[in-house]
Amino acid sequence: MIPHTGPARLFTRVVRTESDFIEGVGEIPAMHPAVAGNRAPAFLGIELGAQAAAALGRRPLRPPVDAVEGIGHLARIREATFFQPDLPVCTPLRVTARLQGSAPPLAMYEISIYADGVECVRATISCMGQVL
Amino acid sequence: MKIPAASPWFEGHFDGAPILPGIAHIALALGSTNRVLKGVRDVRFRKPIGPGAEVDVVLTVEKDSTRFEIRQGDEVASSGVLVFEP
Repeated sequence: MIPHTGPARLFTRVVRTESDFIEGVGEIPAMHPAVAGNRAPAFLGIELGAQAAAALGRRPLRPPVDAVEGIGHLARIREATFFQPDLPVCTPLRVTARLQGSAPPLAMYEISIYADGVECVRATISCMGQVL
Repeated sequence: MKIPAASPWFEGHFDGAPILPGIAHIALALGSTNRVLKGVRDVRFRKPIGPGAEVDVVLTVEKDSTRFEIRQGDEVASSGVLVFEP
């Protein structure tokens, strides 16, 4: 579904999808390079949201041949707010991504990350090649 | 600074075509600051950074924010604004 593997793979499961929306579950592995102790910086939530947005795409994703044009690449973070400084590690995180619009080859999504039902990260991002 | 080819940031991102994840650009820009990051804005990823790349991190520090550019040679690989807790 997405090309990330090993510690780079944060998105783990789809809960539900609509044509322009996805809800899923992710987890930050302890071996991720940004993890210190049992916490991870909140900006990792942006990557989780980007992976959820990538999973929302209708096309199967593959590792990019051309990195610039690669499908699902994070191209821009328009704005992100971190309501908490960090995220728990090895703990299920709820992630949502909603398509806000597209201007090929970019698509814009609003993403949110929740831990224990509390929103930790909200961002508006643009990804390459995720045109629905 | 040199991005080591063996950096763990490349593991799984992506197999056979490693590039530095976008969030790693933010980590580079943050460096070792102990300020609390409240958000980011207008972050643009313009050029992928691969294993072994030499990059420069250019910071313009303001009161509650820092503008960054990560440059690879003459090109800007990424840029944006880090917003910190006052």
